[in-house]
Amino acid sequence: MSRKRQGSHSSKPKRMSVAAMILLDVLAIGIGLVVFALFHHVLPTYFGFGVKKSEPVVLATLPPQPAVSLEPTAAPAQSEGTETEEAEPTPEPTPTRVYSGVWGEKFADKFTEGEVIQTENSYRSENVSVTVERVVEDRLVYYVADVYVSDLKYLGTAFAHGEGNGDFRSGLAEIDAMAKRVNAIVAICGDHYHGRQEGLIVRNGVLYQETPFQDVCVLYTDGRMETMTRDELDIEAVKAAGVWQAWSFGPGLLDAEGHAKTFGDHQANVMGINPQNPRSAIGYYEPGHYCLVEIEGNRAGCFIGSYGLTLSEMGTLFEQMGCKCAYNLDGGRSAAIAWMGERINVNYGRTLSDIIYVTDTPVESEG
Amino acid sequence: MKRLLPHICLDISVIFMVLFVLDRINGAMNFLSRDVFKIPFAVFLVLVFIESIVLIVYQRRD
Repeated sequence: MSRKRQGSHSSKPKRMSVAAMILLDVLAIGIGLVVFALFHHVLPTYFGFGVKKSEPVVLATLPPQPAVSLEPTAAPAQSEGTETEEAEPTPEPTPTRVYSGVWGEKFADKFTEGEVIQTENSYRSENVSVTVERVVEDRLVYYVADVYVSDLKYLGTAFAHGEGNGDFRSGLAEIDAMAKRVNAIVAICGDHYHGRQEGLIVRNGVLYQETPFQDVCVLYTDGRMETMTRDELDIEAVKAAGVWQAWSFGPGLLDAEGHAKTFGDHQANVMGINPQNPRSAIGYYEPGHYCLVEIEGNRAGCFIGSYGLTLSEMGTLFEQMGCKCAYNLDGGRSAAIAWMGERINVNYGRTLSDIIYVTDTPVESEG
Repeated sequence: MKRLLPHICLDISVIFMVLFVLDRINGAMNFLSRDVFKIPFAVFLVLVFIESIVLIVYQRRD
């Protein structure tokens, strides 16, 4: 009997201890999450794994710039048969200023009459006017690029690699390299489209992707900028209105009246999802007048005394600046701004998939 | 297999709970709407179905 019992007991497989079992389960969960992250984020971002490719469609092309005529205006013709013919000499003709682009006349005081005036933080020509200011406040440092363009063809976007404005889904690159390639006066990071397979993506008038995502920012060909939520977005209506650029990141920072939206920062900060961060954003005043903002923050061990901003604080900043519309772009370690092809903010050590830039040479539309 | 199946279900369910919480925190990451989530989720449903049947059979035997 005792032998039988011993035999039957020894045939049973040994039970694993509870601690070892829990440890193995936790290990398996960790491995599972890593594998998920690999297929969800790493492989699509860096190797294009599982990314659906669609043919780009030209949505809009900007009209060609009107021919520039520097001929002076003719002197007023004298009426015949008057008795004062010999009395008054013919006045010297005064040259007429020819304005560049659509908004050249509207912002005439911002542009020059043809010459380029450049300082260490400003650039003015007949096409663009850009002034970059580094603002230092209590526990906050940020850059504001005040941008006037005479035409939207001086406000472009570029992808990481390739000729001209680069190729869609061409990987990641440093902001300096992209800015130099496209002769950018000023450039900030874009919407990191490369990290997602969703979103409305229009660049320089070309539609690359139109899968609905969260908040969208649309820059129309008439110079208006608008942000909308996923529910508000009517892609066909937007396309019909003429789109020059569309970004998918967000959120939109201002409401329809230009007041800052709130994003529940307190609760968010408790959860650690919306802390003060380095950020990038684009703002809109009126057609032809925009601003690019980069906020410095405490990331990747790069702390220069600036703690960054929450999304609500960003919205308040744009409201105070008088913007009608503002849109949050890729931030955190991606936050970047370059002036004349050189990065001027802290390098948080992350490469970018795209930039928004201002240039003095017309942006090449793939259309 | 019958000893491993509960652990597989347990581990995958915890992974999905983590992803669900992360998706609530940062919806922009789209954790729950991509195929990379949907396919394992379908597999998980099948495993849970099998595990449930096995469990019911064992309970009825006892």
